[in-house]
Amino acid sequence: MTPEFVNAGFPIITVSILIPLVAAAIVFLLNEKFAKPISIVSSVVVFILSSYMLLTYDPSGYKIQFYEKYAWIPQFGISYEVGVDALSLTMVWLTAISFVVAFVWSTNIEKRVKEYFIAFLVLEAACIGVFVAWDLVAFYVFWEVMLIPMFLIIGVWGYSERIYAATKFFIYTFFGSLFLLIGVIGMYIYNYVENDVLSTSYFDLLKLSLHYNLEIIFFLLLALGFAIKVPMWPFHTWLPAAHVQAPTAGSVILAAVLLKMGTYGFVRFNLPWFPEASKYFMPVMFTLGVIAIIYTAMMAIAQTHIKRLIAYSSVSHMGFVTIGTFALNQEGVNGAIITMISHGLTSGALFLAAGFIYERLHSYEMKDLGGMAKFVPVFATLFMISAMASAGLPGLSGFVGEFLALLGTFKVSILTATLAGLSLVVGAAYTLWLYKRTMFEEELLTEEKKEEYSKLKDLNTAELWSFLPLVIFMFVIGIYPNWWINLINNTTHFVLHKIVGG
Amino acid sequence: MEYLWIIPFSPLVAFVIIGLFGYKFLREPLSGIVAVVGVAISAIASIKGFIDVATTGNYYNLKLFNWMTVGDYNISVSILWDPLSALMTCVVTCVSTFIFIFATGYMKGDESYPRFFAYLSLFVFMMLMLTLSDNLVQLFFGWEGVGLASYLLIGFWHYKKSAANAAMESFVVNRVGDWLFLLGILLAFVIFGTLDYLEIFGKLAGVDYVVITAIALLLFGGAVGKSAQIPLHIWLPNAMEGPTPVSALIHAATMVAAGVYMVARLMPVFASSEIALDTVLFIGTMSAFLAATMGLVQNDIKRIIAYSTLSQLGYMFAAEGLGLFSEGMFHLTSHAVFKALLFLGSGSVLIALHHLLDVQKMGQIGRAMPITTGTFLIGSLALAGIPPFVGFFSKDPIIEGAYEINTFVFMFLWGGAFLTAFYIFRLFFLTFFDGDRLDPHIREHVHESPPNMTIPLIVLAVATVVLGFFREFFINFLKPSLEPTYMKFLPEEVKVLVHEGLSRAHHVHIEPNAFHFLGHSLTSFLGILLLGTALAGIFTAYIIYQLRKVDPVKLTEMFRPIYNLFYNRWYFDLIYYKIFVYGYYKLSKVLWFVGDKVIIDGIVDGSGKGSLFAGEVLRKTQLGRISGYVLQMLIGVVIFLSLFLFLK
Repeated sequence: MTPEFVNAGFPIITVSILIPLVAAAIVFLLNEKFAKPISIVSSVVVFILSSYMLLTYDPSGYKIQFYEKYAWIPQFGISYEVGVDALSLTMVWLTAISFVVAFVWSTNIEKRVKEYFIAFLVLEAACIGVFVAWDLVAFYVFWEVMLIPMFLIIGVWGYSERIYAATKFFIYTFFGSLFLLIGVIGMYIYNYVENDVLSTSYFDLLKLSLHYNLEIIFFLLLALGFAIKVPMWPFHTWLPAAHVQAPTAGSVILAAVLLKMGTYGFVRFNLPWFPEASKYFMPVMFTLGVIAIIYTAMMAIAQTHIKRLIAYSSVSHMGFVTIGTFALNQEGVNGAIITMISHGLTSGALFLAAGFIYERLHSYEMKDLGGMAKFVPVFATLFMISAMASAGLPGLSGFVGEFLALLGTFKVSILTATLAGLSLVVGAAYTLWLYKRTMFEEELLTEEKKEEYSKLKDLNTAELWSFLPLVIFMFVIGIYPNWWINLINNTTHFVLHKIVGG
Repeated sequence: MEYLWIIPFSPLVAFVIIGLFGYKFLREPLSGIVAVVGVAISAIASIKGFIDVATTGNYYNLKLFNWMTVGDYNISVSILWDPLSALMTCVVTCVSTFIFIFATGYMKGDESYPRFFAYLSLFVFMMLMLTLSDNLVQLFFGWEGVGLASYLLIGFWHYKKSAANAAMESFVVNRVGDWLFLLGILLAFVIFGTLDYLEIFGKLAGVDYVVITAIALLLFGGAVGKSAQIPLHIWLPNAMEGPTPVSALIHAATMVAAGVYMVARLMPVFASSEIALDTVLFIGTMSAFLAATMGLVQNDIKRIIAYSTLSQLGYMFAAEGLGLFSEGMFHLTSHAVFKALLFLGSGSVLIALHHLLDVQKMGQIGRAMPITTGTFLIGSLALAGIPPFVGFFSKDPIIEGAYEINTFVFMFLWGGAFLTAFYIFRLFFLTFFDGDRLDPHIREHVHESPPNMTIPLIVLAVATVVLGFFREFFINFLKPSLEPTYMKFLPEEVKVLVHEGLSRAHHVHIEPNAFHFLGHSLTSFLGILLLGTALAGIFTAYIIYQLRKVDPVKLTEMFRPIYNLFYNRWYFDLIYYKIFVYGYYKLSKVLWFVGDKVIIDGIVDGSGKGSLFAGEVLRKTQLGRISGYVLQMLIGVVIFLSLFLFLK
């Protein structure tokens, strides 16, 4: 199955990558008071471009659209090759919306304002690059470049133990990427040995038919790189540490965008490149997925630090993406992709909620919180919607992906689906626990606390406008999932074409 | 029949309007009025639809909106309008209308008045999505949606720790049932390739018995959660933390009956499996009896009625398990009316007594509140099963059916009937009559409630009196949905299958005509026995709590172990708390410490430190000479190449 390539009349993707970089340069040159407006404007433009692509994308057949390819280092077969299929496109769109939210939210940054926004802008360019690159060198460059601004965001603008968390994040994911690099180089050399062609293009490597054992080895190399990024159990401990220390906007990007790169990698590379190995590892992935879902849900409820709780809930949700992906059927992979989008929205919103609470009460610890609902009703409502979307309430985005992922899984393993389905219970438990301990039980407050609470301000304009896009799309996906399913159907079909045939 | 879409969307519109403008513009009482209008419109539309179905006997299937496509199957938002859904929809909308009106009085002056009516409207919308659905996914959407509304309304006064806890408990316990329910849906989809009821029914004939049993049991798991049957019943009594109109609407009349409705809706599926029917019967019977014992010794007025709800829902499930689906649905209707009446009556009492809940501290308020007392008495008599009130015509047939079919079940349901009559009249005498145990400060202000509260009471009381005489109409009306031979949408071979599945009830004849049934009750041994039992229950309560011939405290001492068992609700709550709340939380804490912090992070951070050491060692290989690096690269390439050659 060879895809069609539809060239872009206007290099819209390259422009989307360049806009944040240009904006970063401008921020660097101008006074720091322009940093935020420029960042917001640039991210909104990128969001508009990505929405334009989303709306004009042709979902019939499998076509790489808005495609651009320029020779880069032709001697080694390396080129600059970008384009989108529905998987890339939804991820780019998720990246774009998340950065708008992150920039709008970032109001009271006090230290190194210019550097803060520059770091985020470079990060945005790199994130988009990861999702649109079809050339593996470009992909790997974007993949690594992304680590540096994120490392700085945690390490410079984080909380007290930021250095430990940033280092752990960096070394851990870097460690994973090395295996990814070895895997990619291996494929490259193998392609040369087999076909006498030097190419780093995704589609050239897709044509390889690997020996079974080689497939297994390459699968493992790539999987290790991606599994750390997802993160899958037991490679997940860097994530709570990073989230606890990261500033709010950093957490939003980390949860909404960076985690998706791991699962994106699985769907993009592991399934199409290594179909036999994917089948072989299905039971392993199911096991790890189920452990992620149940075990980290238990981790979540054991937390008193609300950001750590949300971080663990992310790992738990990514377990659904894992099992959906490795169900290796249409429903499962569709479910995995929609869960990725949905989790981007809900986890982003939950981290915003944590940020909102921290900015009012200066603590993330449950013992200092509680009883806010009455004083900040608009926030309480949006927080409730986000929590319910995260808990998979039908009509909101979370349900669609989890339902499809479970359905796909159920078709191949009833046991896995049954255990994964328990997240309905344990997921609701930690989500409502979080909500209860932050918003309800006003009667437990001391009089001074109540006094302090009565001065609390509900969402300000910036905060409201960061929340709203996320919440609106939770409804959009939940109420009209068909549009999204229709969008990604053929891409999923392509991803699975070597596994299910056709 | 296109107008049917108005039924669910009218309350949705009310919800959106109140949600957006409630605090800023509508406030009190406009928010309440918007909500009442919203639900009244759907009540009128559903009554019209009910009449249409009753006169033509047809069923209608409207597909409104294509929600989610899975493979070749479209999950749609749709309406299946047949006698069963028409009845259930009418019960929901009509009872809701009166409870909404009552609530405009009950919630008067509450600072979150608009929020309350927004939630109530949301609830009705979700409930109607549930009742009107023609497929399992929309049912699940409504099912979870009413769960959300229930959560929000139980936790309505969320400043109270107890309310916040009860709300969370209800949602999580319901989710246990929903987990099974969702698995049932998935299994059904894999087997049938569709989730539309009518298509599933059409394919029943060829499906393996084990599979059909599994589907039915998994779906029933959801019903056990939603309808608070043993062993997932613990959330319902705690749900009484919500405002009383909520208890009346959600936790008595409508939402908790959703499980009963679902089983009736999927009657052909359940009837295809004897094991499934037996399970429904067993769980229902146990709940009917055990919940009644728990209700005997409680002192919180709302909780007594809540246990009564559990118990009555058990009767409905028992009826379905016996194969008497129409009787189950008739009892659902009847219960919705008289239980809403009882709850609203208790709400009226609570307003008069400033939210005093303990019946031991009430007494002698009957004269001050004649309407509340009179209507409450009617509700109590109905619950106890005294003619001519509707409860008699709906509950006694179930017990008589059990007598014909299964003696074991009959014993429990019969015993439950005595307990029912006893506990409700214990409540009645303690609250409205008996001695003066009331705090004098409260007594001064005891007064009858305003008309917007008493009128709903009167309307429901009138319904309680007259509804029983429409028994024959209801049973016949439901036939096209619940009697296999009349069900037009079933293929012939499935009709046969379902008919055989219900064979346990074939030899049972229960008089549909209300007057004949009454005559039969007054003349037959069984009828007199049941009536006598109810009267005995009332009389016992009268002797103990009104005449005080027997000291209840002494009685308690005499039966201390049994009393403790009942009072502690058979220790369900305690055991669940120890295992699933405390145990789960502690286990999570331990796992977090041992699993994540010690083991996983021990390895991760340890290898970090290890690599620092290794770096020191490896540094020695970095000689800084180009030739050295070239050599290392060569070694790498050779390793790769030999790997390929070796593996090929």
